Amino acid sequence: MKKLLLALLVSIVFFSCNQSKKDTEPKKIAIIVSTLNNPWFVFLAETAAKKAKELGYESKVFDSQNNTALESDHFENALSSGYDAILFNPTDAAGSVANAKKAKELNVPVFCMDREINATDAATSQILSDSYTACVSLGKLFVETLNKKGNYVELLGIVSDNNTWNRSKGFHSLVDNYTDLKMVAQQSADFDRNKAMEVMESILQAHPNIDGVFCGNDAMAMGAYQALVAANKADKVKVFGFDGAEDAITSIKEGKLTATAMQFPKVIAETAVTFADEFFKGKTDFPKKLPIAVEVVTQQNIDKYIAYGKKN
Amino acid sequence: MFTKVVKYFLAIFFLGFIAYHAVYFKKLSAIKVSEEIAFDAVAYAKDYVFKKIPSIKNKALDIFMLISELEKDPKKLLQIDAKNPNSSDLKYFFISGQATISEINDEYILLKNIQNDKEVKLAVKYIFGNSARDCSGLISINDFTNTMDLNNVSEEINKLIRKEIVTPFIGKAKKGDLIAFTGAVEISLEEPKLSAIEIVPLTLAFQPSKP
Repeated sequence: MKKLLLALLVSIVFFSCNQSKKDTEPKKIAIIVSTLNNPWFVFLAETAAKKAKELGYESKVFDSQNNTALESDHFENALSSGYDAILFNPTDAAGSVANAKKAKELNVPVFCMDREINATDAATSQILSDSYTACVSLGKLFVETLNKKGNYVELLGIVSDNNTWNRSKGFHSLVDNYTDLKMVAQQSADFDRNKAMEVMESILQAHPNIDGVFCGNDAMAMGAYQALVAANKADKVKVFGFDGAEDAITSIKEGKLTATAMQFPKVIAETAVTFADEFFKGKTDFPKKLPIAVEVVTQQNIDKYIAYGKKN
Repeated sequence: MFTKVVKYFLAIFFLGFIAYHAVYFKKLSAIKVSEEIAFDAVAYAKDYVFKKIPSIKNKALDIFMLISELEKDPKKLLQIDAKNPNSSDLKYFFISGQATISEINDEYILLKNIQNDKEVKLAVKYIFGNSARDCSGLISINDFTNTMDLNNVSEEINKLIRKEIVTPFIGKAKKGDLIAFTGAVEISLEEPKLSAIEIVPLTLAFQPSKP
């Protein structure tokens, strides 16, 4: 009996010490990002980590390498390692829902950044760029730049990502009204610069006479531009991107790319961390989805912008 | 020997059975169709354009009064009740008005207000974007499982406006007609352009001419 009481006492002391240790330790935030192979996502993750540190939290960045299975492993690791919140840039709008739900079951809040998951009951909040509206504006500029006529190519991003289709649909909702603008090729290059260059090279062999290229992100726009330079067509063909990445902004300044759409990864990342901070402090009422405006950047207004954002 | 054959046969059958039921092949087009069936954007858009919008007609701001007010003081843009779903520079207004048709062309109808001669354009060809969806504040992003559904609603609303509102109207409209309208306009906070503002129509009706 004495032994039993002693064991009980030791257990109580052990668990209470453990608990108080947990209370005094800074909360931990996992930042799970679709890929770190794209500078835009590197900036998103680094900004989130920096903001978390400013608010006194520990954080760690996990790279899913655009692989949903690896993303699941990161979730398992984060949840078993006691992370208190997850800032999440998903790899797959449908496939990533299960991961967010797993975290929810363990009362760990998930805040999606930039990319969406197809559920309103899994993530605590989703902070998303309004890609569709921005691409309506980009489409308008595309039509004006090409004088309402010509042949063009569209390079799509990852087909399982909603951003890919929101951008494409926004663009086509406007451009398809102009019957003299003909899309000669539409192919996916997975938001990847090297792949975009390869895809564009092969498209140029089949369709040498094009006037414009619309790309679902800046990495693909830069890849497409490289292919056009190699084919000696860069001066004639107008290339449009999306993101506001550093090399795209420089390229617009130099008159190479025609335009991009500036997403604001700093706003997205900092909002996600602020939401996590508010959650830790007891707030439970968050917007399920928070759209963030995206702005069109051209040579005319480039002076207002820097890479990944606006000049102060 | 016979038992061995039976064993191998059963093993192959078992593995084949497992493999067959472990993997399913579906056509991508079939998956896309089934996803589209899940949310009926057309029905949602019809309900919005033909039921919800007419029911809030009296809440629309008079476009000509709005222009006059903003011309006097553009800062009023910040105070007026407008919808701004993504906190961008653009504000969407649900507006109404009465005016006379002063010009009809391929892309728009020019309307002139009788009282103050101010002119607005009624878009009749290029109807796109989210102003018709977002001007009323009746549709929220949080009502949708994914933003693609929300954006499909925008496209269906714009299609309905072109097909069911503008096309029948264009067939009958002529210079000098007096019309009553409600619609959506978008105004930039940074660079408000108030001359020949363009309206995406939501309801259009011919009015009896005033003597």
